Amino acid sequence: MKINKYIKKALWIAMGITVLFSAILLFHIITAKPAVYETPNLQVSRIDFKEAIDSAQAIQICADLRSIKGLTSDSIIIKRNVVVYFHNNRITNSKKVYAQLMAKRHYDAQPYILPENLASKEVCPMDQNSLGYKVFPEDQSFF
Amino acid sequence: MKNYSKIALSVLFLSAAVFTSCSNDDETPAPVKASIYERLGGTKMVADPDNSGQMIEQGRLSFRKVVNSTIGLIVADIQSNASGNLQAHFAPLLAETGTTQATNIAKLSDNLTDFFSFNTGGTNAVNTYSGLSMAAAHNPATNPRMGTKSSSADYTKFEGYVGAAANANGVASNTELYTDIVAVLESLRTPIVQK
Repeated sequence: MKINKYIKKALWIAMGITVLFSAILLFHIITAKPAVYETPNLQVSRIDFKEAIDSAQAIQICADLRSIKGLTSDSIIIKRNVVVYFHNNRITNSKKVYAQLMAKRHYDAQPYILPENLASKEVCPMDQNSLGYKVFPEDQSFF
Repeated sequence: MKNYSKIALSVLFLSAAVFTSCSNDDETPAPVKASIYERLGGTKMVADPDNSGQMIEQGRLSFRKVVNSTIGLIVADIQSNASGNLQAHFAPLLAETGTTQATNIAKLSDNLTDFFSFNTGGTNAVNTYSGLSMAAAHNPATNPRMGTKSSSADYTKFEGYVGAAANANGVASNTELYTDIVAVLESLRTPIVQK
């Protein structure tokens, strides 16, 4: 009889601790704010040309790239046979930019593909363009 | 008594001369050097060219441009299996993450812009740096976006990239501003170099 009393008391204490910790966890989840970045969709991409790029070609390539929608105002870097540019990945991606550039002029070039072992894959499962993401802004703190 | 009067008079003249000199110095204090952030445009608000309808402090925008140009120059030098470039450190940033989250480049750009802006005189809340310490940020064990630890030679190379990026964004190598930026980078060498 006495043992039962002790077990009951221990169970109540365990339940109390569980409820308390759950409440703390819930509070942290609800109040957590996702980090805010100034240009969250900034992406850097690169195109490798077969030959070294001279100054006249560099001007041409810059002009062609600047006419493609989605590139940011950051500098387009042209070094030896390489072109590096920045874009907003909500508007365009490296495949589209490459295709659009090739459509403008036939350049002998290939998009730079990152070796798999160097790629860092850290992708959120929530689609930011989805209705659910837009309708429930508070839920965004979960992702 | 007569001698004491002479001494007292001499002391009076001497003090007057000294205090007069001090007074002149006080009237023309040495000019205070503006902070790096101020010299890069400071808190003047301008339109953010990459965020339609948003304003940004000119100093912060200047830093962001230099940071992104630095990243671009490093990416341009990445060559598969070639030694001497910073491929292992920065290649993970190139991974395309789709549109579902902030990209690794965005995080790096924002963190570096915050860090440099805040620590060079841009003390408004917009520049508050909330990232890892310099030692933790450059240790792959505590920062998965850091490909590998940096040696002193790696860091010197990185400084060269920042210098070239500063040049590309209007800060010439022969200016005091350039020297001051290099001094800030040098002050960070100890916690960053871990190899």
